[in-house]
Amino acid sequence: MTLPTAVTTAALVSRSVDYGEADRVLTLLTRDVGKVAALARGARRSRRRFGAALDLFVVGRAALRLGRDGRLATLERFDPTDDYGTSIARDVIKLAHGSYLLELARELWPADQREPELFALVVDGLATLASQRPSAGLLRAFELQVLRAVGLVPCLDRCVRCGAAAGNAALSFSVAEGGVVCSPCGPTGWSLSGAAQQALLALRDRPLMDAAGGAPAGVQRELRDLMLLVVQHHLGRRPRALDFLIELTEATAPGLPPAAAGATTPPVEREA
Amino acid sequence: MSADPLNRLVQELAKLPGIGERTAARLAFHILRAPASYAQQLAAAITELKARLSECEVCCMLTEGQRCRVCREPRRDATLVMVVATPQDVLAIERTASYSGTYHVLHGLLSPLDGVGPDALRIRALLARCGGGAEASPRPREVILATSPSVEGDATALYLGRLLRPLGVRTTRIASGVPIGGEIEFADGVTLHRAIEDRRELT
Ligand SMILES: [Zn+2]
Ligand SMILES: [Zn+2]
Repeated sequence: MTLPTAVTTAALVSRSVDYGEADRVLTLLTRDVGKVAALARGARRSRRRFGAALDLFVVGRAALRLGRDGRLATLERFDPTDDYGTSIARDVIKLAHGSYLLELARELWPADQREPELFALVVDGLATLASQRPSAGLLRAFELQVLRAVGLVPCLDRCVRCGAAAGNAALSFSVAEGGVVCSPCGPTGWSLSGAAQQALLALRDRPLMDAAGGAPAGVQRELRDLMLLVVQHHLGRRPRALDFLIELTEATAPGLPPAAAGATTPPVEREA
Repeated sequence: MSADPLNRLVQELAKLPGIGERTAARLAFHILRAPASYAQQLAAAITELKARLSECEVCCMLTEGQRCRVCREPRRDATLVMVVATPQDVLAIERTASYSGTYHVLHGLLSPLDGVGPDALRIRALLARCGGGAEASPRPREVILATSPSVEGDATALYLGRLLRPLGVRTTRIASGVPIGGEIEFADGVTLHRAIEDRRELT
């Protein structure tokens, strides 16, 4: 990518690490210049320069001076336009879901690529999360749509081996081969129920705003476990935010009742 | 582990927060050029830090011995507990000399992106203290949640609030918003939004 040195773009913070006494190094997801590591001078010591805008889940306009030869960019200004953090911070389950959306987008973001559609998807996901109850449907739809945006979406309607249309017959799913396998070619990997396959297809194509009901209770766990395998395969590790969510909702720790995790949300929707 | 002592020190220093390879190399060369006594003092200070400091049995502040200075001080109000994220926060509030209660140090905030869940924080010790399950201290009448006003600080405070409410402890949150001496006109949108959301009744 050839880029001008100074640019102003829509952006959001996906990671923030303290740097020295006064500064922060941010991983910004941007609409116009892709994923950028940027130094925010004075962001730790004084809120005067950036205000509360550098918090997680705040979308704004970032004025950046881009680094050359792998050097850090510098964040000159950040003016918030949409604050989803206030709503997300009100529910620790929403915090876990929102963090998961950021982690997925950040880790799957192709290096040195401008990805305006992926950026729009992240903003859409955070806006949806901020305005609704947390739902497994949103997480599954977001996973599939991020994977599609970066060209890694699993093949759900045709057998990855023979290309036959996947009907109602028994299917299996191969994570390594990236999609469903028909019964004459299989069985292999995971068995996949017809209901789960239909739900995945619907979630892949549904607007995020309407995804909440897309993971019916009967297949919610099957979808979660399958998508976790797929995500883990592409990330090369378990997503941290999902482990956090599992710790919260399954609260194995004595003295930490799961009820505290999301008193505002009914149990079924608290599922990862 | 590398056999080359210089390289080994650089690798260890580079693990510190905010220290990259280049800064680590600069620090290592500085230590190499300094007198041997300096290197010994530095090494001794680091070793002693780990050997002598542990967590206070009541509030989890770092301390020598079983109880920290604040928890040992009889004039402090042990029924008022301020929950903070780090030992540095305790030091900052102590510098103001305006708080006469005690503390509880979480050693972090809930942070899904960093994989920090409830088990990694000193939440169980706080619940034991508030539920009357800790012999070492009286049951608090009020818990002040003083985590920073960030998304993770707010979420941690709300999470603790939900755990503490059933125990019948009064739970409050420190105020945040437009800085004193600041002007509304110049406050950023997020600060203003949150200050308006957290408005309170004039009494
Ligand atoms: Zn086939
Ligand atoms: Zn103490």
